[in-house]
Amino acid sequence: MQEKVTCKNVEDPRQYTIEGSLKNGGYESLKKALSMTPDEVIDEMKASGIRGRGGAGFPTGLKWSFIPKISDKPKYVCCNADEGEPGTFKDRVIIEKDPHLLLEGIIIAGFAIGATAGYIYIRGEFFFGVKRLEKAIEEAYEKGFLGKNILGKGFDYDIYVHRGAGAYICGEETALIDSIEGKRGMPRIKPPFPAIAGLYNGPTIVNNVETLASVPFIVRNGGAAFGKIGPEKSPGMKIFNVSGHVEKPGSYELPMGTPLREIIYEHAGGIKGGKKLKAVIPGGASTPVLKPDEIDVKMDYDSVAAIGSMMGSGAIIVMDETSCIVKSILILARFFAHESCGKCTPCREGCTWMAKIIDDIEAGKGQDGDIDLVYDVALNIFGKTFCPLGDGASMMVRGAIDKFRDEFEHHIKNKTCLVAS
Amino acid sequence: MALVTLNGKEIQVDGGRLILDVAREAGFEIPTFCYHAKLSTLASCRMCLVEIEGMRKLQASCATPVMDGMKIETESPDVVSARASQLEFLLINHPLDCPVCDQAGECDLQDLTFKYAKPGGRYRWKKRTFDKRDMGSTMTKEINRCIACRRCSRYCEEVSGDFAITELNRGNALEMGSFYHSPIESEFIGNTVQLCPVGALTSSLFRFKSRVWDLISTETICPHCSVGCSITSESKYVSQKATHMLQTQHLGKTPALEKTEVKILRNIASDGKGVTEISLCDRGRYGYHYINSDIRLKAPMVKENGRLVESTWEKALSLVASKLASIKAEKGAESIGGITSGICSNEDNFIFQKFFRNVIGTNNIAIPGDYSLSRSSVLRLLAMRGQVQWVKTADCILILGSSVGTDTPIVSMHAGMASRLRGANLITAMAGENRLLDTTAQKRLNYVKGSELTVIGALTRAVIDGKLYCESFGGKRKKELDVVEAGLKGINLKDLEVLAGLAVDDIESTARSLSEASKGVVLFGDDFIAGEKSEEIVEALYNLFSLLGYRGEKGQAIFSPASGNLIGSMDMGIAPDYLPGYVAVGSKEAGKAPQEKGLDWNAMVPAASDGKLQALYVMGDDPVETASDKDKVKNALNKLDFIVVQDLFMTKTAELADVVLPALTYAEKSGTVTNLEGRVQLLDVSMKPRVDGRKDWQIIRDVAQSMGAALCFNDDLRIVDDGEVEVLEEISKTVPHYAAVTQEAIGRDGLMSDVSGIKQAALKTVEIVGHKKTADKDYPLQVVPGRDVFLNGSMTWRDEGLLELSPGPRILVESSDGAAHGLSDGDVITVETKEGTLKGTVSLTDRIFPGVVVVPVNHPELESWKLFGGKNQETLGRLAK
Repeated sequence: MQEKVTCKNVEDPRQYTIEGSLKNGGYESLKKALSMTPDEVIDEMKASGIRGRGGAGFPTGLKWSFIPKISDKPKYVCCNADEGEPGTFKDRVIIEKDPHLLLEGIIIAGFAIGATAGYIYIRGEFFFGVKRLEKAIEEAYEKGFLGKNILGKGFDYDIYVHRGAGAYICGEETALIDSIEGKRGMPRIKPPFPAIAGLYNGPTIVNNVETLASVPFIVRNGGAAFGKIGPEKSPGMKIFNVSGHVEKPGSYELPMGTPLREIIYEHAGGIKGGKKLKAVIPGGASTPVLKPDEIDVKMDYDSVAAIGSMMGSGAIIVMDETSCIVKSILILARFFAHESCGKCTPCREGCTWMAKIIDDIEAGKGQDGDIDLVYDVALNIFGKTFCPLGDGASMMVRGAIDKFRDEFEHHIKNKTCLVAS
Repeated sequence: MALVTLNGKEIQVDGGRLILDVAREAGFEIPTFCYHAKLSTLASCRMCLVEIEGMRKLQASCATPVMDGMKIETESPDVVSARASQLEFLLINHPLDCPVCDQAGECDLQDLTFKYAKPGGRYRWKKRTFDKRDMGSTMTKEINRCIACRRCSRYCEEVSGDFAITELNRGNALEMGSFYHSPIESEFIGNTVQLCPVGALTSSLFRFKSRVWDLISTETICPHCSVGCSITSESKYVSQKATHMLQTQHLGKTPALEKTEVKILRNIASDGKGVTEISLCDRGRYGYHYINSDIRLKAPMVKENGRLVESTWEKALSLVASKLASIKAEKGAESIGGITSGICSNEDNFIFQKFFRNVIGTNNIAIPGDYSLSRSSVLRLLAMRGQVQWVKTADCILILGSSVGTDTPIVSMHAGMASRLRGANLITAMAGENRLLDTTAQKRLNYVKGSELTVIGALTRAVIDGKLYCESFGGKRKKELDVVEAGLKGINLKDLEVLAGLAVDDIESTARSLSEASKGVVLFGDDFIAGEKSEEIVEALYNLFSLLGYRGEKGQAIFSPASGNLIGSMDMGIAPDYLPGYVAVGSKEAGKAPQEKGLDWNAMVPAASDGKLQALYVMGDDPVETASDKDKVKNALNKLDFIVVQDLFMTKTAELADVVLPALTYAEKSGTVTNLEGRVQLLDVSMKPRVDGRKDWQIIRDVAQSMGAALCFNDDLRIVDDGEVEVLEEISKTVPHYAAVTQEAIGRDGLMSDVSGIKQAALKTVEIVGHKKTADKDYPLQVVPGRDVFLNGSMTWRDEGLLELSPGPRILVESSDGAAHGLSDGDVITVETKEGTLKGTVSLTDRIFPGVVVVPVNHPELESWKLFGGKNQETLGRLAK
């Protein structure tokens, strides 16, 4: 079996402590990285082919290489730990069970780009995770992995934990930066991209927890070792979060390209109670839903995109035959309406409107034409918003109507749910 | 350069420019809501989306720069449909209450809906609504109409810097409002009303007063301070027949005016004209109510049996003429004095001085105020006419005195902007209220009021000791340096901490910053040069600025007085010792003008008391109200044989007069005024006169005519009814630095008068003795005269709008001092000084230093002059509950 990358030691109950971590080889990669040149570290990252685990799948090594070598402003690493999309709980595992792995990744990233500090922007509700991280940071300072002259190599670096206040939009990289700066978290205009002018206008990389936690593996084993796992264009190990109607919901670190069917039926133990599968949301709330006949898809960025959905963050939400798609979509529509930051017109107005229409349909108050109306509203949002949040809401709604239009029609015609009747 | 294809048309443009700008210039319309050229880019309304070949999504043209080879479509089906859907989104929650909306007729949402929206509505759900909120006295929020373009919050963050309006809540619940929904305290909030593209932020003072299409707009100049912002005054004929009248106007017929009256209903900023960029202060924006006031003087009045009664112009003028003639004949021309105001136009003041010099035959002309400057000092001020534009781009700004903030808010705002947006080094030396403090990082020099001269002396000392002066002063101008240094023997930087409250480090670092700046500016206003040492302060400032090179090349100094046309009245020779163009009285250039220097205001008061002065002619001033020692002035004036007052209102001075003549407001007259930069600007007639008044200069001309003297123009007998052009012609012939001034040359941007031809005398020694801080354990607090930012004189005190804006007669106490005295906001306290006591309402603030109490001296309700022993200068005091 393939060696795990980010979850290798999460089962070890002492892994969260510095002693536990060191026992399992913690910070060995940092020592190796500090004996390399920053460019060599970036080259290994490029060689690994790792793509961002936050959902967009941008090549991480390339992102790091965008950081200007010389800058009159300090450079920063931002770790995006604002894990808030419904169905996603992969970063939390790393933060709570193996915080030192994450810190090690953030320190190496900082060394690679020449940063002076790293910020962990963490979802406000992760009280336990914050405690673990802060303790781990304290331990890392004590051991000389953080602070001045790290490991005697002349590298100075600090890490701060910044707690979010509950806005989903702050997971968007520029809103996250604004939020750290103490401003209202709303997406910024790009360009300039954070690599040029990010946190406090300094060159900044923003990476997901899982991405940064993969860095020690890549440094220790070389980019090639990571790159040979899974499909060539989206290599590596990936944590899949399986939730919903399965026997064994949970986090599974598997090679990229593992078929969705295998994840659901082998790793997660199949549909709960032996019921029939109705639908799968493959990559988090904003990804279009899949039907049972589509689950042979390989879970990697390109394969899922090829069938009109997205692998996103790898949050797989499984719904069995007792699920009402209209109700499920209503919950998600409300989520997006609630989490729209309000900056741009289509997302602010459109997401709430979609939720109202679907609410009516679900409650048996829908009218003829409402399905077309909500579909059109979704189209009017798509591609016109400031950031991808509105796009996600739009794709999610349209995907559900495309695949399960009959359920919506049933709600309007019979004023009851297809599943309940 | 970049070659782009716009809707199939190839054009060459500068690369990096925004698609929006390029397309609009090329004649293609792109609609916008959130875009504003003077605010940061938000790109949130999504109205300006365009299609770019090769890009997956439509792009916001307000945020996307053109690149070579770009193919852009602004009218493709996708673009047209995207625009329509944005409008649908904006309208689903909009109340659609256009019939009762003030913005109707000038509403971007209306206009763009008319142009780009699809017909029909598909929204049947409940609309989003927000609760009513109190936004303070000038603003009414109709936030259900808001389209979240955030122009208001961006303005408050980027321009005014006071964060008065910000974004509350998130997403669909996003609401523009004030923190904690508290009433707004900002002297710039009116600008957000003008910036709002819909009717979400409305002016409480304009609400329901008029449909905007009924307003008649006139571009003119704000009279309320020396910045001279360009404004558009909008008036309306208020009449039952208004609509009918408007029609007849359009048909070119003369409407019947008998039953109509005209009122100014609002002022808006003329963005991009003159010194104006988006912003007016609220004093300027809302200070038009006095024009419409019913308590204005409506007809001439003459004193009969001790009471002023209405009379006719003919009778009043002939009385003035005969009385002045007889006093002149009996007691001599020197027994007649004339005072005018820094608010009168150049034409008014020019004719006034001409009347006094040519007809009466005296140089007894002055403007009363907190300082009195001789010709040599006034000449120094000519070197301190920096440009407002310079402040915007300066990298080091020193503000001396509190009155820059309270009297000329726009200048102060630009200083704050420079510091906030561009990181300019902002240093403030404000012994009183610091209105820039709340949101702008700055270095604060704590100095004790009264030690202004010492502050300048200390800075000069630091410049000399640190060799921070211009290179030439180390070489060929070394002698001049010695001249300056000779006066600084009494200044030892080490002692100053104890004496004037000045920290040595602060002074040294300030001097260094000023010296190292590549573009520095020093701003100072009335309060910094007020008092007995005015002459020395101005001369010392001139020395300091000369050493630093702040004479235009690397730095500028800007004198920013409160009075709208103080600079112009100086140019016009309103002074006892110089003529128009600063020609010295008694010099050979003075020609036929009286050879003897006249009395300034400080000399006129005792002269009136002891009978040397028999008559006083007052044009637009109210010394009885504004004097720091009102009783003394009143008693002196009571001794006079004859007083003429021309004014808008029955002022305290007018009450003492024998003849009162009604004048006209800035809105009712044309003419020119000169701002603090020396920019000559044009007033325009916004409305026909509301009273049977005359322009100030016309009244003087008519008096002269009644005396049988010819005053107009070029000494011929031509009398024209409205002869500003002729007066201006004569001004441009008489005043060398106005030689290029004509109405056409001024236009709407104004014309800089060129004072470079006026020679400055060599540097002089100013003897500066370090200020000694006085202390008295019974009177532990410093009581400092301050100014209410919304008020600045006679007109504003009678302006119901500004009185509404003003927080009222408040005594400012520093928060920790307030806590020590157990005070909270709104408590009534007594301030006691050795000179007197005053009861008033307390306002706790962090905008002053501990140990300081600020009492506004420009609030007529507050008899603050009693505290200062008739000097309007700082004093020691204590608080009692």
